[in-house]
Amino acid sequence: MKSVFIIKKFFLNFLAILISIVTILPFVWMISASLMKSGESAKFPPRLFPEQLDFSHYIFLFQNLEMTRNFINSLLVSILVTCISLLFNSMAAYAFAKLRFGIKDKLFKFLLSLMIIPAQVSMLPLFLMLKEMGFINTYLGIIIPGMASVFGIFLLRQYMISIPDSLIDAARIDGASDFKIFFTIMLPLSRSALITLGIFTFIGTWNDFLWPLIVMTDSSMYTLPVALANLMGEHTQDTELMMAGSVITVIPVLIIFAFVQKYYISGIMIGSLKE
Amino acid sequence: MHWWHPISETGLKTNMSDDLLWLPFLVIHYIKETNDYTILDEKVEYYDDKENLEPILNHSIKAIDKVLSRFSERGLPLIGAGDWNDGLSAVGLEWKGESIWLTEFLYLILNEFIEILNKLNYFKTNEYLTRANKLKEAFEKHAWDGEWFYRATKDNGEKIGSNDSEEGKIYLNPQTWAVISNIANKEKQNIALNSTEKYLIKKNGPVLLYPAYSKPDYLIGYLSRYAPGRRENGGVYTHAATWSIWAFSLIKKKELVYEIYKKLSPVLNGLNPDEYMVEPYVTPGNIEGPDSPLYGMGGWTWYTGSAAWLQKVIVEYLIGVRAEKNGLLLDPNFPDDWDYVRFIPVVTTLVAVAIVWRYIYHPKFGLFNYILSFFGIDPIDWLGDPVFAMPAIIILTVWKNFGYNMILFIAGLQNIPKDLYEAADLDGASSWFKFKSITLPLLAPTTFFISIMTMIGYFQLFAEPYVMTQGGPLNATLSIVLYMYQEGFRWWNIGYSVSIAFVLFVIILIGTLIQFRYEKRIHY
Repeated sequence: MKSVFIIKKFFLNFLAILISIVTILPFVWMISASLMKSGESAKFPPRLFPEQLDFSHYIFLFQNLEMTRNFINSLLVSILVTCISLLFNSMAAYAFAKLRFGIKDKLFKFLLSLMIIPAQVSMLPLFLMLKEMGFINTYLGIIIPGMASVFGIFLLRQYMISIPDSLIDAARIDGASDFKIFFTIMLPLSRSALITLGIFTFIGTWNDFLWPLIVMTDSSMYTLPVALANLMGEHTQDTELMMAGSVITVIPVLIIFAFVQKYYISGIMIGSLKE
Repeated sequence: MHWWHPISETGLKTNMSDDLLWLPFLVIHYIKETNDYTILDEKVEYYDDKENLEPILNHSIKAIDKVLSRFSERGLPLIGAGDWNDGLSAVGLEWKGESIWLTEFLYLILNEFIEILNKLNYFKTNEYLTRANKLKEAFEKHAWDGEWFYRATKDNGEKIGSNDSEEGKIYLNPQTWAVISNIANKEKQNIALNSTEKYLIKKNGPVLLYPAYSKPDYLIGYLSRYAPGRRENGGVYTHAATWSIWAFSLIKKKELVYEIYKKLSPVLNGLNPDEYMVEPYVTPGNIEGPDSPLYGMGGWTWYTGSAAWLQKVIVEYLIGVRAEKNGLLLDPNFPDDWDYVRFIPVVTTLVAVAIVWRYIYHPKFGLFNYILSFFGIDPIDWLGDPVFAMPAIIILTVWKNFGYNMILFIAGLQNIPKDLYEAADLDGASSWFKFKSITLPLLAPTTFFISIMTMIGYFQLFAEPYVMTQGGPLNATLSIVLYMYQEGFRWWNIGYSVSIAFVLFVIILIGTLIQFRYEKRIHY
């Protein structure tokens, strides 16, 4: 019995380690290839680690290409979309969770039903609208569509419903306005939901590809993923350079994720599991 | 020699009883690390007999034998003028006081050295085996104090580190080494470490003893003459504290392993400089304990033994990579909530990932074909062959979503009542049977949810084919959204593009309706 147990345990551990290796291997290769000399990664058999560390591809990306600009674009757009959408989503969520008005339930159901429509479907009309307004190839072209989201309102509303009404009533008796209640009671108490949604929004905006690809027409306005895909067209053969570009695109998200993974994972649960 | 300065070639000759055993300890670890038994034949001189060259094996045997010759009537080794804890400098000056910690240390050395001697067919093997067993018997009979192991006995027979003691009721080392040496039975190991957690682990890690001595005890030694809470007198003594990481890793208390590491970390302690006061970039020898008015202050930085041990336990017991006789052992003790690795693909930028995989799929230099070549599979032109291009993209997407779906499955698993498994265990069900008749059926709602959501999600496939194949070869990887994008934003066939989008909408609507409709029915 005991030896069977050990074999089983060994097998399960082996499987877990194997899966982890499969998961991590492409990233290891990405980082190490980005540090190889030009052409070194296109050798057979493939090398897993560089013979000599070579940072020239990173330097080239930032000095000769517009990566710095693209990096700033990505950062700026992601931060602005996150902050603005948190503000609007939470305001709407407060209204749906705690205020009383006639069409509240109907409106909320209508909003929820919008979640079924995939973003791609509304892309063309949205693009034509923004074009009329003159926002194509501007930061606003990304920021405006991202200012509020049904999912964000839904997530925050579910959280805010659990905040006791008595707190709001007490503040109201003391003469606090709705804005005051919102900023001094609701926002601080919804902190963990706000953080979760903020992370989702930031990572989502940072990683988004299709919309920036459509809206930004000038290479100096590209966000990192678009710039990277564009680079792919010109530098297909420069494996090491492409890997360096990929590392730059991926690293900021990974760093953020390392610090906030608890919130991220709990957010997945809120968004997808139903009782 | 109690210590040794290599440059001036001086050391301190004492009657401390454990010094002898660190030579075999080093030899054992050297052999585990290198598998090089020739070290035992290396000839070196004696400190007090420079003419006499003998192999290290003889040096080690003599050291062990010396300790074995100093035993009490109860069958426990004598402490002499202190053991590892040199502050217990007056405990056994008349060679009557015993050391429980030394008992544990000796037991470990005997057992590990026996394995080496076995390899050499050395004649002492059986003798050591008998002594080790007797040692264990004596330990079981005398060392337990009720909730933990006491530390030592004085020359007059009085216990140190016992619940009966006035101060210094519990010491750290006898608890940690009871586990490290495996001399105690599992039950007592657990009780002893629970007591350690309860009484000894404080703000900056486990203190060496608790509560601190408030007045000198001339039968204990200079340890009791330190101010309360300072250094060995109830402070955190880093060298010994690292051993608690070792011990907790052995009983798989992963959270504590990491917790203690964080408490000891000079970097984290340095975030509170007004209290910690010393350099945050070197491991300190000690940190003041709760009985000190300067609770939390570091001391004796640049103390090499502490730094070396901290590094050793991090690598070998937190990360869990260590050399054993039969090879390299991987036994990580990261806290369970470190799911980071498997989640990396989920949060990373799709475009970057697709580009990386494009090179991994390279027909000539790609990693993937290289790995397949070990199984005798000929190179495949993954992205260039209409047959393989779509499977290649599917493999990538499965890989990318693995962590996400895993989290959902884990959540589903946690909802399955534990008593079902317990009932099945009682009936003697095999794990395959349990998987087939409990896990799978009860996981069905989760599986259903994940399947539908993944399907809906990948009707929206775009960045992967855009970056890797541009929809080719021969449109083999042309997805709906990519088609929509090409028609709408490349050729400006707006009406055509919108119709494609509408078809996508209908497909997704159907998927969602199925999800809504069957979700309730399939619930258990």
